[in-house]
Amino acid sequence: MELAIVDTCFLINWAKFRQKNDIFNIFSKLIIPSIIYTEVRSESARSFIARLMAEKRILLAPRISQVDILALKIYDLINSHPSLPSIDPPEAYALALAKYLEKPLLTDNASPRLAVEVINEVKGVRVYDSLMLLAKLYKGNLFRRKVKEFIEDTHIFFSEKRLREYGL
Amino acid sequence: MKIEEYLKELEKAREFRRRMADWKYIESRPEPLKTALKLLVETGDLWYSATMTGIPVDLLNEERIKAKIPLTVI
Repeated sequence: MELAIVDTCFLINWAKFRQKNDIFNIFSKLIIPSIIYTEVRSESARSFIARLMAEKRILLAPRISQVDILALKIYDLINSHPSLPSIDPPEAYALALAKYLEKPLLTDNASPRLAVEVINEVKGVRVYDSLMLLAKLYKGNLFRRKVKEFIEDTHIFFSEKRLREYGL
Repeated sequence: MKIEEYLKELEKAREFRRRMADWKYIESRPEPLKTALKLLVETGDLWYSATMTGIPVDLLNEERIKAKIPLTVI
């Protein structure tokens, strides 16, 4: 099993999911860029992260100047692209770190997922959202049930188009 | 997904947020929470709405759930 980079919103949402620990059936450890960790302030999310840090299942990535430079370039390329949805600075950093470390990025924002298809600097980076992970974790009726539970727990929905892609 | 399709889905998600949001709850919140929640309904961007109003991202997410604002993964 490999490591994956996570962004803030993804982590906050998964911290609310009743089967949040199942994510470690796919990834051995999650890497949080330190720039992102400082954004997490609520007790529930911090205690979830602290527990996983104690178990060495979450690692804090230090700020790296090469990644900062790449993040700034990605930020500029995506935000000046005529059609791509905008990307915020912490997420640009997470995408740059994923590229630098050659690890997948876990995020529920569409910007990185679309950017890896059209921006040369990040082509080849694997980007997974919650629905993709749920589909990897559960099959058949269990998948259907877990998607429902995920929506109930997090109040994060999936577009009808995306659900149809997975036969839901 | 093509970018044109994405933009269409983005608009659908915005309409969904406007329709589902508990406006009574949103209007009852003090500033800057009220503005942050309204911004979130319009943009669907949690980080942007939190940063622009000085509210921690995860605390705004808690408020988002209470305000019944759905975020849609497209």
